[in-house]
Amino acid sequence: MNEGLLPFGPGAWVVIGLYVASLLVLGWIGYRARAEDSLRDFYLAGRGFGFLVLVLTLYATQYSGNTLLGFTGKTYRIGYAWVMSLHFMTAIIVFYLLFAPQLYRLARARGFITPTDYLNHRFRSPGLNVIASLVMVVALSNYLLAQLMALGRAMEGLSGADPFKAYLFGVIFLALIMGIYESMGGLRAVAWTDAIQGGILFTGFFVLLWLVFDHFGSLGESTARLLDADGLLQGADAAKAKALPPPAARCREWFSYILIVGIGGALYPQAIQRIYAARSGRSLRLSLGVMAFLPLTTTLVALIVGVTAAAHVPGLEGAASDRVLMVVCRQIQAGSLFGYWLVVILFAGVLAAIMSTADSALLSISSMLTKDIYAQFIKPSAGQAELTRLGKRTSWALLAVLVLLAILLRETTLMRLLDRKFDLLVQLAPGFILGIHWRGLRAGPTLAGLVVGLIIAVGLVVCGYSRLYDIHPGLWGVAANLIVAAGGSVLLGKRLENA
Amino acid sequence: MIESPEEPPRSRVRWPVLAAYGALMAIGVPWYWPQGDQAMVLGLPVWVAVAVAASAAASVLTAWLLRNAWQAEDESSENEDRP
Repeated sequence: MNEGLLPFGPGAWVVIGLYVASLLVLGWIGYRARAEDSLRDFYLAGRGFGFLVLVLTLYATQYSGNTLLGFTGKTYRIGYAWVMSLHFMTAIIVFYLLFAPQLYRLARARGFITPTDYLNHRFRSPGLNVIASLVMVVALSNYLLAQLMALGRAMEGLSGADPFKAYLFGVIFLALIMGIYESMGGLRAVAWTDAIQGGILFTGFFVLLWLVFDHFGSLGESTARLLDADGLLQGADAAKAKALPPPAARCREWFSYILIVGIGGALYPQAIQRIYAARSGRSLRLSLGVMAFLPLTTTLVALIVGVTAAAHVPGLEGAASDRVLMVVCRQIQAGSLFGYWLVVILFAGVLAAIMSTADSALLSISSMLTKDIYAQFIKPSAGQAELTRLGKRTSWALLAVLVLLAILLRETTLMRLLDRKFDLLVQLAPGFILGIHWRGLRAGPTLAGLVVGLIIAVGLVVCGYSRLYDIHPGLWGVAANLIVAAGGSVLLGKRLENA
Repeated sequence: MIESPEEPPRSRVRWPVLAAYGALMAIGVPWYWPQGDQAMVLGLPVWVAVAVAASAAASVLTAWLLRNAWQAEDESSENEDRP
């Protein structure tokens, strides 16, 4: 079975070229719109995001290329049980309710720029600041590397040229474009390009749904085909299981996913910075209110496509199943000229999803390295203009290292090991979520809990446990983390009362 | 190391709201569903339709809380800030 799209013709490349050029134009407009040479202007766009830009940039940031490519592949493998993705993407917004209102008000009052600014304000613990910043930088760097590799993968096979050259072109050229518009306009350019990318992505999901129903028929037909698989498909039992209620182990994994993605996704540093950048509480409330419904238009579509592919395009195994969307699109593309052009739009949506997630991660890492590490520990006397310049250079240096890694790791399957960002990010939950509600939470136990949680989560992964009793390593870590942080704070509080 | 130099802002965790989310999660995850059930509704297995409905209900509850509870908190903290 051919697993790639048909190579694009010149017309399709002109459309993709126009999309890329529009990103550079927006970067330049963002550069012209800057109010001052400061970290606040570069990393938070002067805190001026209204409802529409905020909701589109949150959407484009939270939903990556993985939502389109990875989620359809996962549904193809496990079937309807991946409806859990609808739950965990909604859970992200639910967990925002636990701390975003308070965090937003504090950020406005205290002028926060990075997530660590909140921890510094709340705990004043240099050790906690450093470890929390490193956790976020490491988690986001892995994420950014995965997005760069996804850019290369997306380009492979489309040009009709050597796949390796296409991969190189995808990684290097598109990273260069991201670096240019980000250096010019900072978060303002990233959010404006996110708005374009979010719009294309949103359109892409609807195009995909229409294409799949038009080509393969209704969802009811696909479900019936899976349930009546005897004699129709190879591996009938496996096909039928994709439409039947999942076993207990899968349900435990489901609960685990809701918690780890819900908490970890809400603690994405780039998303926290968008909370800081909201023009008003009303803009933020409205944006999050809309975001609460977007899993129904996004992950549910990926689920429907995956189930349809499982019913109509059986036979892909292992890593090849991650490319099932491309297989489906190839069939549609070959069917008609109209289908061909709709696939071009969908491909632009895939690029938009990947680039919008990558640029936000890059900007967030640069802000933390510049403000939380350099300005805090290396040169506290550095001025705003100097720090802004350094932030841009940091972005370029980081991009160069990660592009090189993306090229070197092309043939490896290391990404599954590297992509443990949620196991790391959830360890910040006690400091952010509990710390904002409970005045008794203290710095020392919070730092100790973070260290214990990281050791457990990373230790389990290193020992080969991607799940322990179907629960993610990060959740075992954060449970211990919470016991140490909360228990230690209670004990310390009593000791101080008695002293 | 300095301990808790800044107090967090006053906040209220509403237990009925947490219980509502817990109930939606318990209903949405099909741990209680009979293993071989093949019943369908609107082209979906019924257990999937229930999971989607629970997710949609969580979205509606979240949007309602964002519109009402958060707004009320904003107003009350504005009043507290007044001299």
